[in-house]
Amino acid sequence: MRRSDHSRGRNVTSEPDSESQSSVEDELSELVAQARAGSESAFKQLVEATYRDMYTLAIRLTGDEEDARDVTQEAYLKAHRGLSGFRGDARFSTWMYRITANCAATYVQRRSKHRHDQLLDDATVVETRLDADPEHYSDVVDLRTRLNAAIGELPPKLRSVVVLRDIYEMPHEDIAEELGISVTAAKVRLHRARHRLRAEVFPRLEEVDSHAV
Amino acid sequence: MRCEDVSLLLSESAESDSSLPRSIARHTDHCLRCQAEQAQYRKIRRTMLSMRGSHVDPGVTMVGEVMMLVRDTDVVPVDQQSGDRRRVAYVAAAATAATAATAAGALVLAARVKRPAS
Repeated sequence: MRRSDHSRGRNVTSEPDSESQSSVEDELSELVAQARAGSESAFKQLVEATYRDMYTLAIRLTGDEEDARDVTQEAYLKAHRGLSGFRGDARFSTWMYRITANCAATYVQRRSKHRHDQLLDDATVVETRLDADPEHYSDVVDLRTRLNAAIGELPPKLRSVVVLRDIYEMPHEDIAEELGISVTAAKVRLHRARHRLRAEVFPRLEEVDSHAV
Repeated sequence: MRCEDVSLLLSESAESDSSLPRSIARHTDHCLRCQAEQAQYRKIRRTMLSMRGSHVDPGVTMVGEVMMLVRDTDVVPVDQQSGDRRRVAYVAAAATAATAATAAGALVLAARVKRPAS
């Protein structure tokens, strides 16, 4: 059962624009270098800069706020212990996404199978950016709401692949490696997940027979 | 060619604007159902990509929790902790038994030494 905790002041925000993104990554690279040299303060700043993203990924993969907290903490612990092995050829955030995905996959596997998985209701992750066209904005929000619900209905194995690929644009090879499956299996799961999402979000087409013109 | 045969490629084509293989395109060009399906996959893909811009804030306590965990170099998994506790209990019990046996032996020896020769 999904638990909610409003006492922690959870709220939903959006990321900075892409222009400031690269400078943020530069700062992170500098912080990584300092953290690798043993600076606890630098590591704390890395956590402060990325924990919302990692927690959001974790909640998308686990479907539970408390589990997501555990996964996020575990991911940072692994990252801290593995900093010396981080070569810096990928962005720190990308590296952290992979660690978080791996921790979440392990966590979901361990989790009791009797426990009901329920992900992301409308209030959990929503876009807060306003669109100039209210009608378009309304459509986008509606589609996103339906998609979030549909993602929540997916089995964890399908959910993890489609979230990592279609939201975080992770390469098939990385997804396969972090989930401990073959690339082919990852692609098959991705197709099945997309098919299910489409059937759930746009059910009418499923009922229509094939028409050729 | 049937719609089911092109479904997988329609799903994959959502990732890029690259054109479909000629044989597939020949089908989709004349199939409203597949055109609609392709459009829906692309719409879902676009919407999912836009979700990355949103995140949930677990609250500022998260940073403190992470740093506390990181600072605690002796942190061990719960399973291991319970195992360690069991090991400590066994060692303590064995040590207590050994001490008791030693003490008892010492008392017996002391009693023999003090006993007057008859």
